[in-house]
Amino acid sequence: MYEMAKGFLGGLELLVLLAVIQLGDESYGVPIAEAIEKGCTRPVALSSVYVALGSLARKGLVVSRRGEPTAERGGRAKIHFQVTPAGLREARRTHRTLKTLWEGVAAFQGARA
Amino acid sequence: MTDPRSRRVAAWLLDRCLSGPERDAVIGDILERDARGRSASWLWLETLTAVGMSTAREIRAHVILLPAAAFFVGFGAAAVLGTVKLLPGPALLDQMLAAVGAGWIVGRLGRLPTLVTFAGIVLLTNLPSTREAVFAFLDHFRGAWLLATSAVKSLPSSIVVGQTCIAVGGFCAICQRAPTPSPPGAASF
Repeated sequence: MYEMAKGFLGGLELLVLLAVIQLGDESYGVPIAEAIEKGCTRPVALSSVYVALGSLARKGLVVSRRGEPTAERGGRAKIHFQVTPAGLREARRTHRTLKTLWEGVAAFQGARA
Repeated sequence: MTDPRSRRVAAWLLDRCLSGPERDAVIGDILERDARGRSASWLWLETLTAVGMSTAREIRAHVILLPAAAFFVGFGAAAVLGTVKLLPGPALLDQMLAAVGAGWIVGRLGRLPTLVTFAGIVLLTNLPSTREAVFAFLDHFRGAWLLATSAVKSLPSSIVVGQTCIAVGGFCAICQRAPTPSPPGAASF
């Protein structure tokens, strides 16, 4: 049981994974950060997005590929991210877990989300 | 978008202080978001956060090697520089010069994480609350204890002066270094 706990996604990891799934092919640092900010209405540092992406990549939940450099970015290449089948499974599993736990919280019964 | 000079300075600083396979992508993302109309305070907050997180990650990744390298290189340099009387006048000037020199050597041979680790070790040996514990630990390694004792005498006893001199020397060395090129091909996290 303790082994399972290691596999759970952290708060920002889950947000980043959901943003990667939502964005599809256009998934790199800037749109990921914007999608999270739009959903959470609070700023998120780009470097912390990359920490979460690195952690997701190590768990095999996303894969990355290097894009082309552009002038707007000072000649720096983007890194595009794509969710893996394991990433999709993990997102579904986390959704189920959170939904079950959320429904069990008496204080929120009947309250609007 | 902030003024081009701030962008150039931020990109230059990030180029020299960030490490890891995502370095170019992080710099590019910061510049891209800035180009879409962010404030100067946003740019600097992102820049300093990126530098801080990259440094902390490097230190965590090399939790034994980095302190050991910082200790032997930094204290070794301070101990050697402390034996030379370079400037006329009070000993503090020589101690300041030794601290700048040690910081420069650490910054030259290592990178920002090594410099931060060295500054942290010096701080621990300066703070009255931690000094005894540090030397008690080093007492298990006779050579390291002797080196630290000799080096601490060579460095300014004032925390502010010592840390400032190390930072000045180290930052000069980091600025002189060319940024490490990113590996080509696929990003490997």
